Amino acid sequence: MFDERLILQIARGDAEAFRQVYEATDSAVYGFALSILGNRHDAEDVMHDTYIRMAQGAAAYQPMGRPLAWLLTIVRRLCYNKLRARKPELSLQEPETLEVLARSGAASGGSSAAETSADRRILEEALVTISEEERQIVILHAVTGMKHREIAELLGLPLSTVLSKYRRALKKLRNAMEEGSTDGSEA
Amino acid sequence: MDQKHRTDNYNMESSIKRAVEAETPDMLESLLAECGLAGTVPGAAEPDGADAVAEKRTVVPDYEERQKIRFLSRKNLRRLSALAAVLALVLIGAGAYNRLLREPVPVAMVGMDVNPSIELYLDSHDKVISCSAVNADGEAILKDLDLKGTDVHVAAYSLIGAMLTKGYLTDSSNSVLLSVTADDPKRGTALERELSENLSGYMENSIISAAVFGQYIDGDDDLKSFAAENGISIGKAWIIRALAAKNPRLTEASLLKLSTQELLLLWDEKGEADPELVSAFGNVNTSRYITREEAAEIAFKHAGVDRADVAALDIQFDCEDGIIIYEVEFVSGGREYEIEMRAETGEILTQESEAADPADMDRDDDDDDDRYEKDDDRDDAEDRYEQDDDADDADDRYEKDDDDDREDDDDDDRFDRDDDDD
Repeated sequence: MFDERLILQIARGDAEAFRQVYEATDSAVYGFALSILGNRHDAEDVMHDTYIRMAQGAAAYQPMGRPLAWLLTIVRRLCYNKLRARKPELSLQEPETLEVLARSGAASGGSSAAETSADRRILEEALVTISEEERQIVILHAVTGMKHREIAELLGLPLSTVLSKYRRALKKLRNAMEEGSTDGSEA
Repeated sequence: MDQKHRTDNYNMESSIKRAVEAETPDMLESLLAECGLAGTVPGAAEPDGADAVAEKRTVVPDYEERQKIRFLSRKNLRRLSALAAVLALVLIGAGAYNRLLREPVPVAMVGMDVNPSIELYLDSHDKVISCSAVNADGEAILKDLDLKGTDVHVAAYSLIGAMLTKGYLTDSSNSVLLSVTADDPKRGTALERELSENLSGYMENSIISAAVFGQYIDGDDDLKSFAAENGISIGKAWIIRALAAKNPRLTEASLLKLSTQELLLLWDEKGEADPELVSAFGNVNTSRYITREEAAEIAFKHAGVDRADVAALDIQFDCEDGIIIYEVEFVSGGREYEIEMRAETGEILTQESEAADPADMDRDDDDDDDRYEKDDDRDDAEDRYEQDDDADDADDRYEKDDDDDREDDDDDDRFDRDDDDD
């Protein structure tokens, strides 16, 4: 979470405020976009456009006490634009894009190689095994710190749906981990 | 659900979080540069480039400063272009000189209608060159805003903000019409789509539940004079013309009496617009009218028929001489009925009935197809998710979650009521 007053400061051209908002939200924005689009390249595009839009919209931002949800709503809209531009028969779970995702880029600083690849394996599993909505819910919950209720509002779903999909998704992931499946195919 | 599961879930989520964070690209510096927040302005002369970059954390010009910087560099550019113009004058003549120094010609127009009607004229960079109010309410909105030079999206947000603040947009008066016309139809349609999406997203976080309708239109001269003669915006004129053309009982004169919201209600109900050219988000608020159910009840009662004996029921919003009505049609006991009533009160206005023609019994299918055609192309991603039928739905025993009382975010509580099928 971040202080929504920062947004008003961004409207006045405050680079430091922009920096703070960016640093507080970059993984949330990227992760959410990734959970909807399923591929890294598009998620990066949306991430970039989101922050540009945020800066542009900052002047007219009406403080409502939930700046993160506001920002993620921008992400969601931009993702749906992208989805609309895709050909309909293109599945979100294209094996190629997810493999690229799996092999792409070394982790930056800090974690050991073993830890990183184990982490990434679970993220891959999350992107492939569970359904689109479950993916969004799990990643939002894991990365942004939003509560289930806030996630429900953001995604436009009833709270009970979010809770049940969340539990079901985690159960699927647990099963997938136990079976040791890593080839990314539907369980 | 046991402790092991709880731990596993927690660990999995931590892994996901770490993986996402590790992958998140760092685009901060390029974003700052692109937004002009880094202390440098694209195109402006920078005497000590390296130092400016190094200092950008601490030396950040505020908004007014940046505007000054931009203004100055624009002035420089004008001098250069004036010089070029002089040369051109020597070579080409006076005509070229005048053309170079004239105000930019708008390449696109964005119209916004709520109650206030406002038109924004844009240059090729989607910046506002000028704006005008089409009615008095529009003037009330514009007088406090200076939109010249702003990006169209920012301008649109500002206008919506002003309308919310001044009470033109409320829960019951919740509909916004966006109309875009442009020299380049491709850019124009893309702009309309973007604006409609963004505005409806923006308003999702406001207090009201808004409906946003967007359309890309061809601003022909006929349309412009029709609009001007009647003191309405081009966007409204377009809808009026489209509705009148497709519905014989809707006359232009009658439609001109309607508010933007009432027009949108009819358009939503009856419009057969090309999905490539229109967007619709949300629903026009109808709280001031009786419900369709209520209208049906009234109609049946008035006709003296039993609901159970009714077939081919069709209830639509319509308009009679500037008044929004319900038109209820049905077949019963071998007769066709058509009953009209004021939508606000249910007061019956007309009733007709005649012996039924068997051919009319199938009417419903066609109407439904036309009415919902646009939804297919609307590409509402939410619809895609409705087919989410996971194979393990058999385990679903989550009906009785009374989660509204759960305020705390404690991990343990969250998993308390998980199923015990493990």
